[in-house]
Amino acid sequence: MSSATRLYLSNDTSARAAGAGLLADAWAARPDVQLIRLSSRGAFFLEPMVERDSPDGRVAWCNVQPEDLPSILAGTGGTPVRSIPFLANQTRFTCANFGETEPLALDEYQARGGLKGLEEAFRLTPDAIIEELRVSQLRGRGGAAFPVWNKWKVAQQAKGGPKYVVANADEGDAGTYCDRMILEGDPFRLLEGMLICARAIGASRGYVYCRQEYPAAAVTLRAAIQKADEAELLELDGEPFPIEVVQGAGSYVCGEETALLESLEGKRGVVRARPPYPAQAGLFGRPTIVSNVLTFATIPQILSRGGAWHASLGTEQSRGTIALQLGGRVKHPGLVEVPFGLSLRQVLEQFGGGMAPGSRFKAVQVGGPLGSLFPADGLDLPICYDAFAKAGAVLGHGGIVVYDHETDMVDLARHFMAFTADESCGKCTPCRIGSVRGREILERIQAGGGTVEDLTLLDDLGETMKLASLCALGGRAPYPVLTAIEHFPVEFRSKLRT
Amino acid sequence: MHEQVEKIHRQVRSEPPNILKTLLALQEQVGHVPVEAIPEIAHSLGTTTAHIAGVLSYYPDLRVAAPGRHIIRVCMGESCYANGCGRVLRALQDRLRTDVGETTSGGKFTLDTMSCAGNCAVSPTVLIDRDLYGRVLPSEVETMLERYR
Amino acid sequence: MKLEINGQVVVASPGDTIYAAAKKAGIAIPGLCTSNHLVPFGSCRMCLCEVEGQSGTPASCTTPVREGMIVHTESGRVNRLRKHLVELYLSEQPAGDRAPEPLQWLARSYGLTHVRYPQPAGREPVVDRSNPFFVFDNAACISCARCVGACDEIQGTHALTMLYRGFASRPTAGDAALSGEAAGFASSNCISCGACVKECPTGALIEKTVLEEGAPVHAVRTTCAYCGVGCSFEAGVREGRVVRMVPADDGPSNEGHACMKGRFGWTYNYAPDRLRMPLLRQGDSWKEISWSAALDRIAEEWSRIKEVHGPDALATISSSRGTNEENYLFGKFMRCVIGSNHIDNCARVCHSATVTGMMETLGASAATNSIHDLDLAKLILVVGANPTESHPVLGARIKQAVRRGVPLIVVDPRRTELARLADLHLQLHPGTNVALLNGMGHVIAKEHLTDAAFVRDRTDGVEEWLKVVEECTPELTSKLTGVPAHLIAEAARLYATSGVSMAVHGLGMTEHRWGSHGVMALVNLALATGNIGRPGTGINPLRGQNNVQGASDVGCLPTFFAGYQPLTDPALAAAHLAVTGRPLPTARGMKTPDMWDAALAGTLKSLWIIGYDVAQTDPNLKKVHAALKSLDFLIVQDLFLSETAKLAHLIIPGASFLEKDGTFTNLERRIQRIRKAVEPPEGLLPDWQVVCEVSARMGYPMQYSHPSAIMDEIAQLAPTFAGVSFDRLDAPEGLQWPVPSKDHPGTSLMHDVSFPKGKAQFVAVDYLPPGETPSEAYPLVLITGRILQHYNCGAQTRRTDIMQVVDTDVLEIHADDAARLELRDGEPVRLVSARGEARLPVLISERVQPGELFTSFHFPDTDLNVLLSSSADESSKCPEYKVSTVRVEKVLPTATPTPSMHVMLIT
Ligand SMILES: Nc1nc2c(c(=O)[nH]1)N[C@H]1C(S)=C(S)[C@@H](COP(=O)(O)OP(=O)(O)OC[C@H]3O[C@@H](n4cnc5c(=O)[nH]c(N)nc54)[C@H](O)[C@@H]3O)O[C@H]1N2
Ligand SMILES: Nc1nc2c(c(=O)[nH]1)N[C@H]1C(S)=C(S)[C@@H](COP(=O)(O)OP(=O)(O)OC[C@H]3O[C@@H](n4cnc5c(=O)[nH]c(N)nc54)[C@H](O)[C@@H]3O)O[C@H]1N2
Ligand SMILES: Cc1cc2nc3c(=O)[nH]c(=O)nc-3n(C[C@H](O)[C@H](O)[C@H](O)COP(=O)(O)O)c2cc1C
Ligand code: SF4
Ligand code: SF4
Ligand code: SF4
Ligand code: SF4
Ligand code: SF4
Ligand code: FES
Ligand code: FES
Ligand SMILES: [Mo]
Repeated sequence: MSSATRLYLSNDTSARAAGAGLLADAWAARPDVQLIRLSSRGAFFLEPMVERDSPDGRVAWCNVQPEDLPSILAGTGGTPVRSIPFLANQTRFTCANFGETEPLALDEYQARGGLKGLEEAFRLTPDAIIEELRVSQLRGRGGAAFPVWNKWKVAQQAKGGPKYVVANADEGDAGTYCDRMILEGDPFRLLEGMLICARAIGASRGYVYCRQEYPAAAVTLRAAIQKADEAELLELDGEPFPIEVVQGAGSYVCGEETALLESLEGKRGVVRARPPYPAQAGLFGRPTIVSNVLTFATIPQILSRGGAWHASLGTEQSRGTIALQLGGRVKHPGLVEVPFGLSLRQVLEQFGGGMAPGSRFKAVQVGGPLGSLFPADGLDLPICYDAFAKAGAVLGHGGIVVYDHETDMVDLARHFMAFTADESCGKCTPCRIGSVRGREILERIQAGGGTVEDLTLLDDLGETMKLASLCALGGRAPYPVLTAIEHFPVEFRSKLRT
Repeated sequence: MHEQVEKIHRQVRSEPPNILKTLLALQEQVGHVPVEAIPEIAHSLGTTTAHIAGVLSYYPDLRVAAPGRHIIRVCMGESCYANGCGRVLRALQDRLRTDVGETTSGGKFTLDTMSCAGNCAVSPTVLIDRDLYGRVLPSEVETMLERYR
Repeated sequence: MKLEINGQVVVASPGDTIYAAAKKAGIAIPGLCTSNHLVPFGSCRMCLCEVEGQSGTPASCTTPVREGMIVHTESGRVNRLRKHLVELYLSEQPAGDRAPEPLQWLARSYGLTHVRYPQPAGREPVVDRSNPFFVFDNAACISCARCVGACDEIQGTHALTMLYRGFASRPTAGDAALSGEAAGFASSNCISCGACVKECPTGALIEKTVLEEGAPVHAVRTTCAYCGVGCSFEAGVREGRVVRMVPADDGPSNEGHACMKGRFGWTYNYAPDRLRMPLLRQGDSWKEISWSAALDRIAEEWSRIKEVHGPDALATISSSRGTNEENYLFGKFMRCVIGSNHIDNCARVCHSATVTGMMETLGASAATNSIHDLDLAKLILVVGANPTESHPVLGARIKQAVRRGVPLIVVDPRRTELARLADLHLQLHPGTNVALLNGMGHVIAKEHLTDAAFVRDRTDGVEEWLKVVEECTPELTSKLTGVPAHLIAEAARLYATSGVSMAVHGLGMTEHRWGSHGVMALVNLALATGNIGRPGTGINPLRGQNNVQGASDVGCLPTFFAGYQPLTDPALAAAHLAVTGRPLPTARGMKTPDMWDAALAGTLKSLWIIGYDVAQTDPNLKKVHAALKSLDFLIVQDLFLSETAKLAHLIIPGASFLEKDGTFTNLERRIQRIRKAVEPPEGLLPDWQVVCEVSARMGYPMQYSHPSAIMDEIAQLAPTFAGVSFDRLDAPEGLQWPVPSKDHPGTSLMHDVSFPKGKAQFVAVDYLPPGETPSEAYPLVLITGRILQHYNCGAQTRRTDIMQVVDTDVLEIHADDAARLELRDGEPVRLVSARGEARLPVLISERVQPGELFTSFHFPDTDLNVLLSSSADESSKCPEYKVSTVRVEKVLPTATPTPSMHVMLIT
């Protein structure tokens, strides 16, 4: 064994889908290889990536095939990880362990600064923890970007226990995968964040609502919980703080916090009217913090490094870093953690590497299936909550999908409305009926039977859905459609019946 | 005294029964949730058939009919859309001669879609049972299916 | 809290929504999914508004008010959104005037002239006609889920759900839809309370009577005539016929809710076999005679008998189903015309033990608190009552409390619906209430959970009680009752320490050999823990019939005059003489069981029975029949040819509650009006006019222009009712007695300051076993009681479409016993006691324990009460309906199940 070479290979779902699984199978029996399965760095365009230790840090071989093993063992042709620009240009805090640690190695987590935030939290009073968060100006990373401290304060002050902490690991937005990477790759960070939250609000139980499409994440997380429990971490002031992983059942709207709670209670995942907000009356009617996985994962460092550190990053209204997830037709799809403030264009060029071979840029969509579309001349928008809000757009969970010249914008618009119609919980009228009407109109236009009046009707319908819907599924659904029409009017008009 | 009372209350009033969890667990074992089982599930959970039916019919993942031996799910998310999942789906439909939501005549494959597997950076994505395939090309569909019997 | 809505300053309370605040201020906001009775849901989005300083258009029904808020509910933008929402609604509805009228109205209001969506997908065509009383038509539905909310939040039955999601989502009952069947209601656990129908904003759920006979043209406010809850209703009338009964939102006891019987079980009023003309026996048949001939006949017979045999040869059993005014007049008739106190009412067989038990301890025998107090209680203790079936609206209220997390303790041998939902179910053996309650008392005393100050200041006799309960350890109690000792202790602690514990009890308490002792044992617990005289506490008997409280209140008792005044009170005697011109007889009269003995002994010659089917519902029926048959002249006044009427010499038809004016007093002492909604069958006299006519013919004219004048007389003679008058009763909330003066607001809470006798009295009681214990010959214990769907003798409910739900009494048996006896569901059996036998089908049921059986008594063919003995509570003569020992015999070795039996157990 001692003669075996330590090779690092990611065990992340996407890395495996890209071929890491194949490599692992092929090399499993090799006595000269000791495979260490890590989280992924998120440079998925390079996966499968194999790394070796070197005196100057890790060296990587990219897009490896099984037959590349000899050169890896020989140490030829590798690239020092720190010289890969895609990675080198990022500011990795929340995602700092990606590619570095074994997901379930608690000692490694701790060696890289893990659990320091929790220790700090135990030193502080609940009020002081919340104050630290206020100073940090951290806003929720799940989409609504609500100030975290504020929510915690409400839950802390709410009367009546038990209280709950719920991690929203539904990550429903297509084009996003950072939550999955944390669940699979750095689960203790999530647990630490949840524990800090529980300590601050006085919660006695935690849940992670994990989308069913992430089976590996659930397995890893459950194992991590087991380990944390064995290490006696799941305890607050002598009282147990059990954390349970609950799996969803394929409903997008169950990522919406109140629908999520309904689903967690085992009911139909239908959106609740607010108020009361979950922090006042959430799971089983008790005060509950529902936050995104990334939000929780950001918190340990805020406590260990201080809120002021966090507030020193990013822009006026958007402090800290954002985890952008590039997908679609970019050349370099993958995870990009940078401080807020870069423009879309900078991100696509510096990290995305431009377009995939053979593709020409047509549009980019930010913020998942409910996010707005931007044409080429809209790319100078700074990535920050305010700038996006002003432009009528959202950052959502940081998903960025690039569409190329082959994209049929009418069909894409139809796709969006069909998605909303499929995923509508059916509670409120504008979304329940409106999404189907919207889909019908776009199908008609696509089939060549649409008229100019249909575009007016889409406008009216869009206004109704935006303003009258109960939740942001119906409320945001018109945005990608209307921005498609706005930026690519010719494509729509040319299909109309005259 | 209040504490004592609280404690009794806690003892006697356990966490409410969870319909979704129960149905998912049943499906895990049986492959689907037979409609005939609803009254018994309702009874054992202390709830009503209506509430079971409501949950069962709500979630796309819960099935009332037995699926094929293998379930193929093609991601329709935006990254996959941009990368041509439509062509992959069409290739599968042609090859299996079946439509989305349906099962091939021999009961081997059920073809379905999904919304995002979090595999967007390696898209388009196809999930067969628990195997995830990334960067799938329509031309690869044939060899992919050959692994399943 | 002040805010501004549409420029108008509006005062609201914190917690109000904008919608509610606007409504209070008379500003109407359109809304389809919101309801006073439901938690805001926010699905229809019609109620959108604009709030200054806030972007977007929040739903006013889910947005709480804030101080100083400026709201606009009619802005151009909001109205445009509404118009486009209605357009969306109409796009999935049937076209044109086939769309639900409320949507058409909204379309007109917002200037929507046509729907711009061409060939839109419509709603799935689903029509569910399987409920006997109402129809669901998905075409007219807007998927607002109000019906589902109603079933969950108001009724607590959870028979409905929204099915599927997105565009396809629609309400459905049960799970039949998943098998592709439309008959959801029939196969679900729906109990036809009608709450969903009432909440439905579009008519997608609608009463069959309205579909068949048309919508009502006007409404008459009245009170349900079935059970003691006393639900307020609007009787919808069209062309002189009632076509619908809708519970009134401002009904004090029901707040808009109802149950199957009151809501849909009124169609007996139009049963073809309603009695219309007096019938005189001729051998084995009857001859129709004129009204005057009938009245003459009664007067003649009674004058003759009184002259020949004296006043003791005549007696009346008045109807707890009739009005206070009618009951008072029958009492007056007996006292002033016949000169005796031989008058009783159905309370005898029902809560007479409560009267005795509460009189001795508290000095007053009615619910100490009000139904509304269920919302204030921090713990509810239900002893021997099954309110979700017997008092369904009150039962639903208890379920709502449980939903809110209020702990519930149920003491009942059967696993009733409430027992299943309860935190603690003390499943005692029938007849062991005293043992159990004393056992709880032991724990309370031993753990010093008594309210020492209350006991000291407001009670007497605690030492005696302490002495008695000292012996009653949980272990001993457990042996007697079969309830695990720790449950007894936990129940005692919970009851004693919640701070606000409310006890309700029913026939499982009273209809026993030692029924009044049971009531006293319960009162003792309330006194010991100070759970009386405060809101949310008290001892609250769930009086049974619509006016069983009132019939006793106004003096249809052989032992008391109206207002429970002692017959021997000299002041009363003087007043009586002054008002009626006749002396008040002072000798106690016969109780109902005494009447049977007197008849059999030949001393009682004639009996006048009004609205009470003793020949079916009294115990030991062979004896009752023999007694009735030995009478010279039996007068029965009823709506139908009841089992008792079949034995009568003269039958007088009665007017139903829909056909007369008067008052009923519900189980919380609330006097409420009933109003004539429709005319009785031609020529028919209401009960009160019948007695007036007979009285006049016997030389004592009683003339009243209207029942209100009768109430005035009651007020004059009974201090408890001194302030009661029809004028005051016209208010929707009626009046809760005592109402000692015209300016007294009525009494929702009794004993808050002092008890009638000053202090309350502990009455220590020892446990004594029931009249019968199982033996080799009769190894099983039979409990009898009621089911939700039918009412008492069944004369009324059996003449409605309720028969589609339940058409037979069944014998509920535990699976173990059924297995031992080799019995299958539906198999007819012979049920044998020392008195006789009954026949009925068996049903294996989780509601009964091994060794115990349960059945109802609503179908005369069962002959159930033949089985029961004359054993009764010592002091009150309340029959021991709840414990009889029996055996079950197979009818045939290969018996076939009763064909097409309809049954539905509430679990
Ligand atoms: N649907 C319907 N409603 C009715 C009526 C009706 O016939 N049908 N009748 C009306 C009338 S007249 C009345 S009086 C009320 C009666 O209403 P309830 O008081 O509810 O009457 P029951 O159902 O006869 O008996 C109540 C409970 O007592 C339990 N019980 C039997 N023995 C014992 C015992 O020893 N101890 C204890 N703790 N419990 C015992 C029974 O199991 C039963 O569940 O209902 C009124 N409402
Ligand atoms: N085995 C068993 N037997 C029981 C009981 C039990 O628990 N078990 N419970 C007992 C109890 S608590 C009670 S209260 C009795 C009830 O027994 P009953 O009083 O006999 O039954 P009800 O059905 O209430 O009404 C009797 C009659 O009143 C008539 N009626 C209704 N309204 C009017 C009206 O306005 N005028 C006139 N003239 N007639 C009217 C009806 O048509 C019906 O025939 O049953 C008792 N019998
Ligand atoms: C339709 C819909 C889907 C959503 N899906 C997610 C999701 O998958 N994950 C998530 O964290 N938040 C999602 N959200 C946002 C949540 O409602 C909620 O704001 C968030 O979980 C709060 O966490 P944060 O404060 O950390 O952002 C969704 C919202 C909507 C309206
Ligand atoms: S909107 Fe522009 S100026 Fe304001 S915080 Fe964002 S980047 Fe900075
Ligand atoms: S907008 Fe759509 S998903 Fe959201 S509550 Fe309304 S129907 Fe449900
Ligand atoms: S009638 Fe009552 S029980 Fe039946 S479904 Fe409607 S609300 Fe529920
Ligand atoms: S049936 Fe009536 S109450 Fe129920 S969802 Fe449809 S419209 Fe609403
Ligand atoms: S609960 Fe009683 S009073 Fe109310 S509707 Fe039902 S039977 Fe009538
Ligand atoms: S969009 Fe298909 S995996 Fe994310
Ligand atoms: S009435 Fe407010 S949303 Fe329906
Ligand atoms: Mo009764």
